[in-house]
Parts: sequence; C-alpha cells; structure tokens
Amino acid sequence: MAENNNANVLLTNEQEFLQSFRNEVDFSAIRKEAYSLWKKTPAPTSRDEYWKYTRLAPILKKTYRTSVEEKQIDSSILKELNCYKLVFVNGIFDSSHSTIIEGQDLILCDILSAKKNHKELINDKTQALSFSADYFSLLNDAFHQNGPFIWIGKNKVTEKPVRIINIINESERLVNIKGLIIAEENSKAVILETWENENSANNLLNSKSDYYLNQNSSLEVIKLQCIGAQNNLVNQEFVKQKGDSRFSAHTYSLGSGLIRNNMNASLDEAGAHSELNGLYTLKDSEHVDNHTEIIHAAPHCESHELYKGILNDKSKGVFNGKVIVARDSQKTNAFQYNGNILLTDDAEVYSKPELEIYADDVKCSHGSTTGQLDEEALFYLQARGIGKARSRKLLLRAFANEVLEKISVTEVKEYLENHIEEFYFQA
Amino acid sequence: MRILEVKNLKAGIEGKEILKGLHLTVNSGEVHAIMGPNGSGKSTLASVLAGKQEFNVSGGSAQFMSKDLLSMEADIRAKEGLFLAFQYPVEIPGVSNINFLRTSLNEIREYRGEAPIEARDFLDLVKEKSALVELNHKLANRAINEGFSGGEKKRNEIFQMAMLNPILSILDETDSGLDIDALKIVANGVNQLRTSENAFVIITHYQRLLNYIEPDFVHVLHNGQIIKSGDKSLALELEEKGYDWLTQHENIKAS
Repeated sequence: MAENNNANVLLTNEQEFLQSFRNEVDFSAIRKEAYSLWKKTPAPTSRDEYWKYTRLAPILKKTYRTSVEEKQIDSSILKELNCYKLVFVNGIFDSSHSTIIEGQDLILCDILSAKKNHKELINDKTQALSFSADYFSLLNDAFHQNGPFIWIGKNKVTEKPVRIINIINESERLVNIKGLIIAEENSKAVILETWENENSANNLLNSKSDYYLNQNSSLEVIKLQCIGAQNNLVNQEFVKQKGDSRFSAHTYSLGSGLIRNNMNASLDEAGAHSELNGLYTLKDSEHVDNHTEIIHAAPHCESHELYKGILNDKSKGVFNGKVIVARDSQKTNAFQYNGNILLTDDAEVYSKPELEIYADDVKCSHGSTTGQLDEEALFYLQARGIGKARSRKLLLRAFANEVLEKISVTEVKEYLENHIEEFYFQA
Repeated sequence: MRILEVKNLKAGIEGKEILKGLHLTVNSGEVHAIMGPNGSGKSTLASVLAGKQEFNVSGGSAQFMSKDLLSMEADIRAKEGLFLAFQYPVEIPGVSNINFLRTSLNEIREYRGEAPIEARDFLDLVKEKSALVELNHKLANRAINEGFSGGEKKRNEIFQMAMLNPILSILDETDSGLDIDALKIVANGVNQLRTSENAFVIITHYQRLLNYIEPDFVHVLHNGQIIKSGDKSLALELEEKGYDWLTQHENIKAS
C-alpha cells in the first residue's frame, strides 16, 4: 500500500509533525488535504520518466526529524550586500536577523505570520494555484515549517534586493520551506535566495516557492544553492505570469549531494516574458537535475532558457526542458539551450528538450551540446604564452560567463565569479 | 645570431610521418619563406614548432635561441619568444580580445621577470599596434575572433604579434583568403616589425605575399623535406613554372 511507501520518509516524526502543527491557526483544509493526498501518493522512483536519471531511494530510505529549536544565525556570505533579509535556520524563522516590513507598498515577513495577518493576500486562492499532485509538493504543502512571504505593492520598485537566507546547521532533518512572493502591477524587485550549510549532513531540504507576477511587474530571482556535499535539496518553483510581466530566474547549484530543481512557469497573458538561466559546477559525485516546464498559455509571450554545466570527477548533470505552446498562443518565441563541459571521462550528462507545440505561428528553438574543453582554443591560448592551467580556467570562465553576465546584482556576480575561479583551482 | 636551428626533423600525426628529415637554419634579421604544394608539410612544420600536442616528433632536433625547443610546452615556447600566426585563428566566445592579450603579455613578462604592464601603457600599446594593421581598436573589446571577418582574423594575428614582440614569428599561410588590400596591410605590418634582432618564417602557398614582404631566403618544401633553397628569385621562378618542375625532378631522383 502506498502509505507504507511514504512512511519511510517521516516514520519517526510523523506524529511529531502533526503535533507541532496542531496549534497553527491554519492547520487548515489545505494542509489536511495535502497530507491525505500525500499519504496516497507513491514516492517517485527512477521508473518514473520525470525522475529517470535521479535516484531518490537512498534519500527516501533515511529517517529524518524536524527541527524545533529556534536559532539565531546570520548569513556568512555576501555580508556586504545592502539588502532586506528574511532568515530561516533549519526551516525556522529567525526574526532577529530579519528585516520585517509591514508597509503600504511592501510586506516582508514569514509565511506563518502572513497567513494570520494578511488573509486578503494569502488565502485559498493564492495557496491553491501551485497545489499539485507531486509527491514533494504535497509534502511541502502539508508540512512546511515556515518560509518567506514577500508582497511588493502596486508601482513599488524596491530600492534594494530582498534576501531569503536558508541556513542549515543541524543534521538528519527534513526541512520544508514554503515561500510566497507576490508582485503587484508595475512593481519591480530583485530576490536573492541563498542556501548555506554549516557543518550539517544528511538533510533533506524540500523547498517550494510560488511567484505571482501581476500585469507589467518584474521579478528577478537569483538562487545560490550551496547546500553542502552531504545534503539533498528538492526545490520547486511555480511562476504565474500576467500580461507584460517579466520574470527572470538564475539558478546556481554550487556544491551538493543531490539537487533537483523543478521550475514551472506559466505565461498566462499576452506580453509575458520569462527567462530561466542556470549554472551548475559539479565535482566528486555531486548530482544536479534541472527540470523546467514553461507553458505558453497566451499569444505574444517569450521565453528564454540557458542552462550550462561544468562537470568534474564523477558528477552527474540532468537537464530536461519542457516547453508547451498552447493552440492559440500564436507569435510565441521560445528558445532553449543547454551546454555542458565534461572535464573527466566519468562525469555524465543527460540532456533532453521536450517541445510540445500546438500553435502554428511560433518561433521555437532548442539546442544541446555536451563535450570536452575545446582543444583548439586551448592550444591557441597556450601559443600566446598562457599556461595550460590558466588557459583551461579562462575557457571555463568564458563558458560560465554567458550565464553569469545575466545577473543584475554586481556583488552576486562577483561572488559567483570568484567561486568558479576557486572551483577551477581545484580542478 | 642563431635563432632557430632545425636538424633532420621527423614528425607526424596519428602514425603518419609528414616531416621526413627537415633542415632549417634561421638567423636574426632574416626572413625565410617556405613554399610548397598542398600536403607538403608546411602547416605541420608550423604546428610542430609551436608545440601542438597532436603531432609526434619521431626524430631530429630543433634549437630555439640555443635551447631545446621540442621539450618545451607550447606556452613556454611563446614565453621564450616564438610566435605562430595561425592559418585558422580560433574563435573563443566569452574571452575578450583585450583581456586575453593582457593576460598573455603579463604571463610573458612574468616569465622574463618583469612587472605586469601598467593599464595605461597597455592601452597605449593596443592603440599603437592596432593602428599598425588598421584594425579597429574597438575589435579589441570583442570576444577573441568572434564574428570577425576572414581578413580581420588575420590582421588580429599580426596585431597580437606586434603586441607580443616575439623573436621568431611563424606566419602560417597568413595570406590565404586575403584580398589584395588586406594583404598589403598585413605585409606592411610585418615589414614595420622587422628588425635586425628578430626573424620571420613565412609559410605560404602563393608567391603573391612575397611581392610585399621581401624574403632573404626561399625554401621549397615537398614531401616533408626542403628540396630546394634559394633567394627571392626562386619564388618568382616557382610562380612562373609551378612546383612541378621541381617536384617531378625530385620524384625522379627519389625513384
């Protein structure tokens, strides 16, 4: 029976979970419904096409507990960055390091508070939009401990980025983080989400974020996934875009046990523009799987996807990019590219584009390349006096730069450039 | 001063021998032209001297400034003052020409124990040397050779050569694919860089370039060996008679 299948994830603390949520005002219909559905949903295996190259069994077999202790820890990276902050430690809100704002045109707080205080914004409707039958999504809907709530009011342009900081410093935890980000008409914001690991191991991090972009709003979301080699992350994002809205996401996976990103964007009204970029630099036996799904549900929308990977040692990368163009979505522009460089014979990449096009007047393209570093280019640089190691670094950096240069926040761009530089000192 | 001394050089690729005992001596202040029909081994010679790894050296020696050239990595050869102008310059997206040149120049300076070049001096140098080959210095900010026309790529090679100021420059068919105007620009660039201290090996299929760069010596390469050497008049003779009169003679001799 399916229930037995799932019990392995939460066997030791299922009751504890239920206990801890009992007092919450909204252990509501939606949590209960998610929970009962989740109990009936079998955990995915590599027999499922959606999870073909990412084996979850070793992760799901472990036992996890939930963190209960409130801790106060600040981020250890990008400290100089002038920004608003929402800090979560092992999934629990750390208000002491957070910038809580309850303004006329900007709200920054944790989602549990928002559910109490902002029922007009967070209600069954906003919560139900990403409600899906997916195993991890349901798990998150049922058991999210907390998460960021960001509301950018009409015409508001935030003067500095909003940082969502997730710090993990305990081990063998199941952390469920759920975020809700709403951009009202004509608003604009940059969101930076970082995951940081402080000597933790064997955690399963299950994150879910919903983004609502109203007419002509603009959101840039930059994610730095540094979860540590011993931790695993399943990250789900659901983007709903109204007319003329612009969404861009930059997903940087920088060291992990296993990372699975499910990025789903729905372009619901004409003029919506979506840009999904990703970079993964992997070593040892790290594993990163990026699944994207873009639905062009309206005409005159545009989507761009650029995912690149550099894989060393025995690491493994997966890219699956699905684009669906609905029948009436004429004049759609959809472009997708996935490029990979394998530094060793043992590194692996599985790259798959999936285009489903039901309209007839569209421009869609996809491309995928996987190969070694270009020997001709390497020789060219060496022939100009640049040492072999340095030449390799220059080429790898150039390869990654195409993705990095799309970030608008200079400090973050520089941080990533340095990270990649360090990565190749080791390579 | 002796710059390059190649003795009985044998080299090939994937088990196939292409250079079959080649001799060449280049002294400072000299310009050598190496001519020959397709497949004679001209580009192999350039690649072997510059240190391209796919080629295996199976015999002979090459001394560069009295050092064993063949045991050096490609970048060390460049640092020692050898320059190869590529027949097919590589496009490298994402690396700007200017950063590449600065890195290159500074690595060479570091090797010689010199301090990195000042930013101001570097930019002045870029301006001066790009003017030499009439290369729009805005191209310097673009990615290496990306979107350059054939002529721009070749001029970029000569521009790089001018920036790095090598002791020995090997031009591998720099003239192929150039129209007459671009050819004159390239030749003019080379002529201005000629000094009594440096030397050039110009590999070419056509005599045309040698109307603008006057060689001191002309060598004919055939079947992996230099079968005839002479002064610039040899190039004119080749132009008139083609390679056949030499190669047939050589084939008869061989059989």
